[in-house]
Amino acid sequence: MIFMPLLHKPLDTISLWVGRIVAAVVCVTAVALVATLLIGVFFRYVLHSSLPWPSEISLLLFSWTVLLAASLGVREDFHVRVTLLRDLLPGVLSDILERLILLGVGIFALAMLYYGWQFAEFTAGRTSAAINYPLWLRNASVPVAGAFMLLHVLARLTRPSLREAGSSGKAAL
Amino acid sequence: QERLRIGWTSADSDTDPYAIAAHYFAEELENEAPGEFDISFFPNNELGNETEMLEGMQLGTLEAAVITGTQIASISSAFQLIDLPFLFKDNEQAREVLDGEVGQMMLDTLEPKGIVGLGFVEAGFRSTINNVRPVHTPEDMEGIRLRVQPFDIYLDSFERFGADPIPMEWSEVFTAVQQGTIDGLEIPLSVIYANNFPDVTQYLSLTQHVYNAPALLVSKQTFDQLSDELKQAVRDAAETTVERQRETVGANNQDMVGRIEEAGMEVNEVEDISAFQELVRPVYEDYREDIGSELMDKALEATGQN
Amino acid sequence: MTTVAIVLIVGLFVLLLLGMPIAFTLGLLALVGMWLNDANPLILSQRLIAGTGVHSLLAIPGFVLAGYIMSEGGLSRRLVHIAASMIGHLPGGLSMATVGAGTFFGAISGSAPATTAAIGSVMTSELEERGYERGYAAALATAVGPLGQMIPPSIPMVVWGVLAEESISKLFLAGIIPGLAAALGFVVISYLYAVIRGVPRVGWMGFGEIARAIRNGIWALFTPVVILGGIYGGVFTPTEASMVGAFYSFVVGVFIYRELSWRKLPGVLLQSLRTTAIIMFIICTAYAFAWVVSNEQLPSQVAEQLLSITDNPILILLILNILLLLLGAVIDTLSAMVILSTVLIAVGNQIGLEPIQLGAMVVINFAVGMVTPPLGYSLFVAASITGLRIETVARHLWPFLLVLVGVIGLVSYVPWVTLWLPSLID
Ligand code: NA
Ligand code: NA
Repeated sequence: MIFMPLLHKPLDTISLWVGRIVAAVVCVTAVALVATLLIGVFFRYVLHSSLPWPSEISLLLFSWTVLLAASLGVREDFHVRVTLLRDLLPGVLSDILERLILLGVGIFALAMLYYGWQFAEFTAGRTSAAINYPLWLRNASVPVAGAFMLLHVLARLTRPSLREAGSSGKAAL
Repeated sequence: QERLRIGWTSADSDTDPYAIAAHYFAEELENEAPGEFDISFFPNNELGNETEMLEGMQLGTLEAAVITGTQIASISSAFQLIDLPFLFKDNEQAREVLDGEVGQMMLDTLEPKGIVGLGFVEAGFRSTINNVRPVHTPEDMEGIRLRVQPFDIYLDSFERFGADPIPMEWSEVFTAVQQGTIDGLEIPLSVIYANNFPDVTQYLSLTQHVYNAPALLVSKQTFDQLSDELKQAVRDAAETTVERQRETVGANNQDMVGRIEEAGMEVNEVEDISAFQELVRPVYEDYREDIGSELMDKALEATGQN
Repeated sequence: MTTVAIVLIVGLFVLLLLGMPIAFTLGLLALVGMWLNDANPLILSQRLIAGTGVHSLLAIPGFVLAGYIMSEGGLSRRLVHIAASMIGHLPGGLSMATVGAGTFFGAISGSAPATTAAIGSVMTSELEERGYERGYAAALATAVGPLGQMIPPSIPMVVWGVLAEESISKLFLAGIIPGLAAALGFVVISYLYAVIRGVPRVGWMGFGEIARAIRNGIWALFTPVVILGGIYGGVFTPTEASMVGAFYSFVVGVFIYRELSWRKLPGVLLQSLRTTAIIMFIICTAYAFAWVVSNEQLPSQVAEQLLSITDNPILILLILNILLLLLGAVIDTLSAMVILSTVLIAVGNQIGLEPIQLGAMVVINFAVGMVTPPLGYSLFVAASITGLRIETVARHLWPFLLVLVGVIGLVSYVPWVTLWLPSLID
């Protein structure tokens, strides 16, 4: 256990910077997502000449936006949950409970990374139906988000205490 | 007992071509090999959409499925062949070609991908419905905002016909036609009726541009585990299923045009498809390499378009 | 019942109670289910992606964003002022105005927490100053959340439309009358509260004040016209409408009202993305969970069980409603929809319920789940805005819950309430 605090500092720094970069990236993908759909309406309704790409591109952006933003949720602890038990238990026990929960989150993140990677590989040769972009480009969002989630889990697990305020990590912006 | 889950995307109804195929297949399997298979049905996208079910069969999480040829193209581009507009003249020709060498060549491309193709059933020809004007010639399609299946080959073809093709998601289509967000779509006859399109669309033009052929598929992982007798039983059951399914679906579609007319749509035949064929010829050539030159030549020969 | 089924059900309650985030609870159980079933776990990744692969669900980020921009851009505050200028002088007037503004805001926002946040942040302190208890103000803000979900546009309606393959535009229309009925109920509560509590009345400000408020808020008032008019006028799909709505409120907030500075924009965007990620990641993992559930053929078993209890449609509806309310209270609304849609549709078909009516019923049941403890997003939002404990807010909620349950009864047993408006566009 002695190595935990040692690991904490570097892991937390990486987690913070990954969080900041991901936050910036999802802002960009989200704006692009809105723009893509608006352009789609404009071309169909105003110009009467529909574009083939907005519907597939918007979904590609959607996958990345959702999964990357979800990875921020592990750092900031914003995924909805019932904190009844944590609030009831005394300090040490609630700290242990929080660590167990993080462990569970970590297992799922690892599954996203591992199986997600394999699935992206499995779909490697294939392309999308309408505009033929390579499908791994979309499917890679699962393992990438999984990797970031895992990082944030580790950064939080190595904290000395999870009970104190702010233990859920500073918001990225 | 061998567990056999059969999936398809539409409803589990007596008139749905996919549901009919799945149920006949189950019946015939029971005939050929009584008690050998534990069959269960998964309609309504329960285990995923068509692409996802294909992946499921490849990964071994699903044993069998009835999947539209168009979607199978997502794992084997040879299947784009049947989406070439105006390839087939009529049901008889389509059935003959798909049961013959051409169909077999297509099904064989699936084996290296982990899927065994057992045969093609029938969902019928796709035609065009819209609210602007009846379509007799390509000129009539000019500027019509037409929802097409969200695949490159459909987008390219309808672009050539002069329409404004829109790859809209199916779930949004009915309301979009109703509200006038789009003018129409291309669609199989049975689906027009089953989804109440006569309530919101005025013209049905029997363009019969694409013959929808769903394929009966089994996961190779499942198939390889079977004894030789059971493998044969599966193949025989599939063959009978194809025959029976086409007969039932054909009979169901017989008076479909009449029923659609009764429901208030103005129906017209398209007498001369040569102008459409002319326009779409470059698309054939664009997709030749993807589909496979040899397969394409054989198909063109078999359909008398050489 | 199979081992997997037991693991799924017990695991769900245990993990949720321990405090595992709901998305990860569903995801982990899906994973365990796949392991136990010897199903290739690569399918997990496929199901997660499938959740983000549905075009109609793009309306979720759109409506969430529209809601937050309206709130930050000063549009929601102006709506509240309009309502207050009209009915603020009645007994319970400010509370009624909150309901009115919530109803109107509901016609723009598709998200319950966004509605609660927008109305709650403007109104709670003002209500408190005028003699309402802080807990009541918070409960009121909580309750306008589900109200916003009944009045179109609505995210649960979008999700149900996707799952049941029903027209989203029709589902939207089905929610209007129940939504207005709930609003009316809340107005009655406002009146009774003010009378019983002796809340001091405010003087009538005159028609000049109304005119001024409307002039100030005209661009905000115009938002639902853009969104709903665009959908029903054939300009765009509900998905596109959500984005156009976000863009419109952005233009109004930044260039006309000038309350939304460019500097604040990334913050608003990120806040919307957090909400979107919460909702969507739950839907993604629910897709994985639902796959395991379907694979076990649980839906058909549950539907059979349910129908074997009785063949009286009135009783079945009652049982269905009780189940939905209980489930809505303890698990997340949208994931419950994803997981249960097959069962619900099967039962609905069996007792001859119109799909649109069933949809409205399900959505309203689950909308109530948004405000009930232990898991209710609107409740969380209202508690965090007011700094009150969830228990305190919950204590003031029961009259509102009573109204909502009444509306559920209305929707279940009077088909006209949900089917009349959609029938007009046929
Ligand atoms: Na709403
Ligand atoms: Na709840």
